[in-house]
Parts: sequence; structure tokens; C-alpha cells
Amino acid sequence: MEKVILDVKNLDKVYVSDGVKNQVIKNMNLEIYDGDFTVIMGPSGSGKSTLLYCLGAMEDVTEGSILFQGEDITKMKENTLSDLRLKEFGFIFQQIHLISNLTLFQNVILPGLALPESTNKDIYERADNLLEKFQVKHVSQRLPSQVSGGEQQRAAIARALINQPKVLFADEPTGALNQNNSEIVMDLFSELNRNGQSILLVTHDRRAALRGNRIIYIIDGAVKSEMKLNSYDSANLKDREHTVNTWLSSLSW
Amino acid sequence: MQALWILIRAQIKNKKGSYISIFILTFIIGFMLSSSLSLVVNIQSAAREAIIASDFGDLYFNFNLNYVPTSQDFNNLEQMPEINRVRPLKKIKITSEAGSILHKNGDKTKVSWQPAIYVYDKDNLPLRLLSEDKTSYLPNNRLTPPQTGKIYLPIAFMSMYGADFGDTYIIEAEEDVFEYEVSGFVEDITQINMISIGEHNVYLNSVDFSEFEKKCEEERENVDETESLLTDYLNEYNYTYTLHLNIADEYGNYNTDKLFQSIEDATGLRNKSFFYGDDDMFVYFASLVSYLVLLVILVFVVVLFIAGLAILNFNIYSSIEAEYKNIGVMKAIGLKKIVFNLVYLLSYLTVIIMGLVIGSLLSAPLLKSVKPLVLDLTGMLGGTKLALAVLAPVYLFLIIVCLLLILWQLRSINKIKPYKVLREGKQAVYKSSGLNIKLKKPLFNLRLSFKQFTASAGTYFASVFVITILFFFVLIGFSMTTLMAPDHMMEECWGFDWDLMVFYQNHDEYEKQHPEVDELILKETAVKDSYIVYNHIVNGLDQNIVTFSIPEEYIDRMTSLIEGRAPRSADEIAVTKILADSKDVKIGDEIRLSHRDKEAEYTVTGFFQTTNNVGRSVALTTSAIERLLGDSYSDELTQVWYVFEDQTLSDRVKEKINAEYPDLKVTSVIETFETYGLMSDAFDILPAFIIAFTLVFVLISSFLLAEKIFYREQIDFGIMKAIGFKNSVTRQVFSLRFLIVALLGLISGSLIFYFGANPMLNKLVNLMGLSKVTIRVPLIQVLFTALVMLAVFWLIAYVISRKIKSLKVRDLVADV
Repeated sequence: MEKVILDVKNLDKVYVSDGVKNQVIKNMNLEIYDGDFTVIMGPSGSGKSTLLYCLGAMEDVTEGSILFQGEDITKMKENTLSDLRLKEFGFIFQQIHLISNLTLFQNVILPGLALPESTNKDIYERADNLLEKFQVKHVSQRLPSQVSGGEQQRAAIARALINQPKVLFADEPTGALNQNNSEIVMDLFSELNRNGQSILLVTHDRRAALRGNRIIYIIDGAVKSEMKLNSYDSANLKDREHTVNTWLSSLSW
Repeated sequence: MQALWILIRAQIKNKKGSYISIFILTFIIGFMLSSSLSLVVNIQSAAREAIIASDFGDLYFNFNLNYVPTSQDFNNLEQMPEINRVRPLKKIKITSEAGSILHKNGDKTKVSWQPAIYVYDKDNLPLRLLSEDKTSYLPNNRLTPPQTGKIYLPIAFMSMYGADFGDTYIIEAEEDVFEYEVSGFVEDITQINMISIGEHNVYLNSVDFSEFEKKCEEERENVDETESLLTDYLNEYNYTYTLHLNIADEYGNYNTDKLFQSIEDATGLRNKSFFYGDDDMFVYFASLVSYLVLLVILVFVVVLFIAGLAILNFNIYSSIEAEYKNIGVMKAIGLKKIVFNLVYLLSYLTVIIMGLVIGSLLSAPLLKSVKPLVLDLTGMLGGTKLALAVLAPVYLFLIIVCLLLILWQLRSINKIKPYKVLREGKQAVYKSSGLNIKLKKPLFNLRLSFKQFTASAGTYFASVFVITILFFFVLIGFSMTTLMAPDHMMEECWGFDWDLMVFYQNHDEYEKQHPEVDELILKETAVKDSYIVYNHIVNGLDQNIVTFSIPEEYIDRMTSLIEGRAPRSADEIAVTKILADSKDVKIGDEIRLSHRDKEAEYTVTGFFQTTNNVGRSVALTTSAIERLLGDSYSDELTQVWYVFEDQTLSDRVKEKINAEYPDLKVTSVIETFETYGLMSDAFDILPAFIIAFTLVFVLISSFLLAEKIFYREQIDFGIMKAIGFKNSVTRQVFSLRFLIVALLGLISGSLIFYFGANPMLNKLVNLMGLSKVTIRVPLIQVLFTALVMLAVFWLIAYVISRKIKSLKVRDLVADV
């Protein structure tokens, strides 16, 4: 039986701007499973990023609940949410968002040092290993502006993983990258998932979507359809592509 | 044009806070500069007007009773081609008793020193008369002598002794008492300075004056023609003259020292006088207090201006940084650099000019309101006009400096490339990593904060600079308070140690009364020391100088020796440093003193300082002064100075002496403390004023900086929140930098004070005749002030950082 790691119940999210209401998520019910590589897709304005940020405890909700390991994160206070983001969740952004005046290494260790129970030695070691694994150790003493976009994003992934989070959230992680770097980053995600990392990824990139073993399609703030796939294997890429494309076409993607 | 106007309006609307702060600063600068400069100019003008209105003349001589200029002297003067008018004014002094004022309410005030009695002669010296409401002078046609039985006093008596119209002025001689009703106050320019050296001028009509003349003549019948010092002081009623001379037009540009030398060569009168000077000197003395006020205010203005420049610099820099993307976009769509330059130039210069002008205009009522204070301080009715002719070039200079700074900052607009802006956005601005500080525990927050600080150190530079300057002046303010503390002033300013001074009119009186007075004092308190002191006015180093002569065994009671040693023998002398520097005299040099027809040379053994005679003083042993003046040096005023075990008893001892010997002049250190205390009180409020000012600036500076830094780094805060940093931690990381900024400012301010305060304060005390000051700073108060500054600077930043709490993470990190 698959373990539910995030359980979304009757979720509503309404933005109000200058008195005008905009309901971005409508009565959504959804389960995210432990160990899954879940991809959320949808057209622009469908609410996919909003959903991601709500699940990642970075956006509050209007109605409904989000249970993480049985606890409703929508009821949690700010400090508890901070702890959640620090210890249980890792986040990767489209704009990468490394702190510009810290080196890649310093960016990676930042959340680690914020963890009260961590030691300098553990954090430094873990950072080194991650950067080595993501092949950016040789540039780890450079500033973000001194490395390529792909190297930045790989450092950002290392930062998201430094505290060994339960769930990795990624908002269009390849949106600012070229094709080559996109491939490298998605390979990393695939490998992480193979090693048991739960990943929740929002994308409009079809090629990125192929990496997931579960694709959820959202329109107008509600789940329209979903598709389950086997674990990603580059040997079966063509078939996988065909299956996913057919499904997306049926959804007028 | 329209685009320019739209951009200016948007700029002002969006950066309201910056413009308001610049306006406030320039307003205060305009207000302070306008008030102080106008005050100085008005007082100088008033002094000049007083000189002209009273037909004072160009040169002035005042003689003591030991010399009466003769008609031959006047002829010799008139023969000089440099002089075209000689006006001797007869002066009568009674040696037995000083005057006193019986106020209308029945209180009596003793006036220090004997009065110098003159005839109010409108034809020779038409001194202006103050109106009864004390707001104007009487018109020319009302400048008449006082009626018989009435007297005119100098305006300075009003503030010094509380004299008023209708009071009674009393002169007590040994067998006579003269009482006059005070019916007028004269604007006597000599009474601003000379009151402090004992010349209290009073004015009668010719009838009343002739009574004194008769008495002088009666007593003078037996005077020896050689007029020795001893003979003069056998008389109770004495006369001599003051001289007012006008320089011939063709010698109008001559150096005054040379003119006085010519007069000395032709007549010997310079050395025979006890005081001489020109009209410029009296204008200077009249303006002295206003110069001091101006100096203090200029210090503030400089601080404010530097702070203003720092804030202006910061505002423009951060405004360009914040508008970086918009400027890039506008450049991409075709707006030229000149448009951006004009937006900043026109908006800031307009605000600066408005601040200066409005500040100046609002200073006019202040000038009106201090008119009574000017009257008290200077004995003149000062004007209340704004000194526009002086202010205009000063303001022009300030505006040009601001303009240059703005233009300098606007250079960065050139560097904004549209393509780079559109590609990299705001991140393109931030490229520095600062110092390579290892991030680790413990003190992780502080390390990260310091790292962030060094990454954009330039941004904080202006604030560090402002705090440096502000703290420097806080320390200056505190040190001036201790400098002006009465006990410190006594030590540095008087030059010699004393708690009580007893004055005997002449040696006979000393011989007669001193043993009894001494015994009385010993009954009242324990005496540590006592010694005789003589003061004389002689000529030396081309000017009148006051001599302090003290017996050899006591001369090392000098408290303000700053170099070398006290003189010990009859051919040695100590000179004030300020006098020595002005004439390039070194230790070991020989200087010549002269008095009338006598001269003597002395070797300089050391330098000391005193405010007596504005620093124009020397100290020597009694045997040394005897070489110059002969053994009659002690015939004149003899002083005995006492040093007590308990200084606080000096007032009580004085009262005891005056109860037994009411005619004896006695001065206690406590009453002198009170005199210094008035000045000290004024300087006591200086630190409070500076601190209040400083805190306001620290507040403004911190607020502006925190707002700008927060705005610039809010995405970083969003990232930190997103990766799990608690709000409290993020706020700490943000605000700790401000502690670092404030600390750096405090340390640099302290260092600058340590190395730079001495030269600066020395320049200030030079005005009083001193050349060196010992700076003492009250440590507890300074530390407390530093802590408050630190706390305020940090607290403002911490308060600003509360915005972190309310910002949505998603909103922050979703910014592209």
C-alpha cells in the first residue's frame, strides 16, 4: 500500500486584488505518495504553481486542509512552518534564487547551519558530497554570477537536499536553463527519485514531465486527469513519450 | 519636457521620505547659518555704528592715574602729520572707594572698581543714549547731558549689575558721599571689554563734574612735577585723560602697530598709557561673543552638511539602484541620459534651495527675539536684518557642492546598459561577495550578518561616516563641558592657584591691614598657602601686557605652565604661549619690557597660559619687576592670594572679611566659579543638544538605510524564509549589520577624536587667549551615549525588519 505523504482535502485558494476575487484552486482533493516522482502540469494560470506553494507551506490556503504525515499544515504557526521547510521540505525555484553574495558552497550549507541540531562537520561533509555528486564541487567557491545556469541550479538542488528532506518541491526547475542543462538537472531528479526521494515537480515542459511516475493535469484549479507511469528508464523513452503525448493531446494540451 | 515633468513628479512621489529628509536638513542649515552669520554681521555693524555715531575716532589711549598727559603731549600729537584731530577727555577717579548701585527695590549692589567719571560732552564724544523702553536710541537732538544730580551709566551696567532707570548710583569717598539718580544709559564701546579690566565709565554734566575737578585741584596743589607712583596714590581725587585721535586721511591705510610706534617715538605716550587700541580692536571685542557662538554653530552646520551630503549621496545612489531596471527599460525605449540627470538635478536642487531659503526666512524672527540678549552681552542694540550679502556666497558654495555630488552620482546612469538590465534584472547590480568569512556555528547569525555587511560595504559607508562625525562631535561636546567646568577653567584660564584674593589699594594699606586680615582668615580656615601678587601694565612685544609678579619662593604656584619652567631670578620671565607664538618667541630668547621711560630685558624660561588680558600676559618674580619699575613697584595695588585646604569655605571667609573691613575688596573663587559657571552652564547644555541632534540623525540615517537595504534584499529574505529560516533569525541577520555599522562609526569617531580633538579645541580656546587644553571626557556619560546610539541604530533596523514577518514567501521568491 502506498504511503500518503501529503493529503489534500477540499482545498480552495482565492486571491483578492483591488476587491476582485480570483479563485485559483477549487475544492481540490489529492494525495501525494511517498517515494513518488509526481509531476503537476497544466496550462498557464491553471493554479499548478499555487498548488505547489500551498503544499510546500509557502502559501496559505483559503479553505481546506493539507495533511503532512497526519498533521494539518494549514493550521500551523509561522515558526512551525519554518521548521517544516527547514527539516522536511526542500524547494527548488525556476529563478534558482541562490543568494548572490554567497558562494555556491555557502548557499548549500546555509539551511544546514540553520538547523539547531546539526554540527559544522556534518553539514560541511554533506555539502561536499552533494556538490561532488552534482558535479559542481570544482566551482563551489565561486559566486552564482560566476557559474553557468546549470551549475547554479545543481547547487540549488544540493541546497534543497542538505537537510535530507522528506519531499523535494520543484517549481519549473528547468525554466531558466538551456536544453543541455535541463537534461542534466532532470537526470539528477531521476536519480534522486530512484534512491527514494519523494519529488513534487511543477512544469509545462513535456520532456521534464516524462521523468515522473505520476502526472497530474490541472485546469482552472482542479484536477482534470492523472496518469501513472513506470519508473523512468531512458531505454524506453520513445514509448513513454508517445504515451504521455497521446494523453496530453486528449487533454487539449 | 512633459516626459521630464512626469518623471520628476514620480521621483518625488516615490521618494518622498528622501526629499523630506533633505529639506529638513537644509532648512536647519539655513536657519542656523542665517541666524549666526546675521548675528555676527549685525553686531559688527552695531559696533561700527557705535564708533561712528559717538565720533570715537581711530585710535584710543587710556591713562592710569600714574600719568597725566600734558598740553605739551597734546601739542606733540597735533604736530604729527599722521594725526589730524586730538580729543582729550578728562577722567576723574577716586581711589578710596568703588561705586555702588541702590536699586529701586532697596537692594544694593557693589560695583567692582572705582568709577572713571567723565563729563557727557556731546560735542566731543556724542555717545548714544538708550531709550527708556530699551529698544532704540534717542534721536540726536535728545543727546543732552544728564541733569544736575543725575548720571548716565554704560548699558553694560544693566546686565552686569541689574542697573535700571531711576536707580541711585553712589560714590563714597572718605569724607563725602555722592548720590545720583540714574537717568540714562550710554552706548560706550569701550565698556564691553574694559569693564573687565576695571574701567567703569560714568557720565555727569559739567556742573556735577566740576565738583570733582575742584577736589582734584585742591589735592593736586602739592603734587610733585615728576609724578612718581607713590605721590599719586596719596591723593583721593585724581584726574588724567583718555585720548581719542583721528588719523589723517592720507595715513588711513597705515598699519596700526606702526602708527602706535610713531606716536611712541614722537610723544612716548604709548608706553605711558595703560591701555591703547584702535577702532577695529573695539569692534573685535564687541563681536567676540558672537564669534564664539558662530564658531560653535559652524561646527554643527559642518556636521549637518556632511550628514546631509551623506544622506543625499545615499538617496541618489539607492534611488538609481532601485530604479535600475526602469532606467534600463527607459533607455531601451529611447530616453536620453540628460533626461534622467535633469530629473535628479532639478528635484534635489529645488528641495535644497527651498530648505535654505525657508530656513533663512524663519531665522528673522529669532534675530528679533535675541535683540535683548545682544544688548546684555554687548551693551549695544544689535540689528535684526538678515545678512544676505554674506549668506548668498555661502549658500552658493553649499549648492555647488551638492550639485557636484549629484553629478558625480549620476555618472552611474551612464553605466546602465539596457540589454544587461533586461537580461539579468536586479541581480546584475549585486556582484560583490565581500570578505571571505567562514559561515559556521557558533554565532552563525552574526557571521552571516557580517558577511552580508561586507558584501555591500559601500552601501553602509555613508552611514558609518555619519555616525563617525556625529559621535566625534558628541565627544567634543562632552569635552567642552569639562573644559568649561569652573574648576577646570580656573586651572587653565587663570594661570595661578588661588581660593581667595584680598586687594590692598597700596602698600601702606597692605602694611596696616594685612596682619589683621591674615589673622582673621587663619581663624576661619586652614590655609595651605598665601603669597603676594602684583599686576602692572607694561609694554612688551609691541603691545600692552599684564604682568603677574610673585615672590621667587611662590612663583611655581603657576598652574598652567605648558612648556619650560617658571622664572626664578630677576632676569627671567615666563610668557603666555599665545603671545610667544604671535611674536615667534622661543624659550631662551630675550624680550624687552618697558614702562614709561624705563626698560629691562628678560630671558624667557617657559610658556604658560591665562585668559587674563586675552592671553597677553607675562609672569615674573618680584625682583624681576623691580628691575623695571624700581622699588616703587609695590606701591601700587597689592594683592594677597590664599589657597585653602577647603576651597568651599572661600565665600564664607570673604563675608567675614567684608563684615570687618567693608572697604576691602575681596574675591572668592566660589564667586568666580559662578561667573565661569554662567559660561559653563551654557556649555553644559551643549552635549545634551548635540546628543539630541545626534539621535535624531541616527534615527533618520538608520531608517533610510534600513528601508533601502530591506527593499534591495527582500528576495534574499524570501529565499531564507523559503529554505526554512525563522522570521526572528532573518530579522536578526538583517538588523545585526546595523549594530556593526554603528559600532564602526563609534570606533572611528573615537579615533578621530583621540587624534583630532586637541588641534580643534585649541583653535577655539585661542580666541580666549589660551593655547592648550587638557581634554577630559566623562567616560560613563560617553559610554552611555554610545550605547544609546548603538541601540537606536539597531532598533530602527529591527523595527523595519518586521516587514519580513508580513511578507509572503511566495510573493518574494516569485519576483522575476
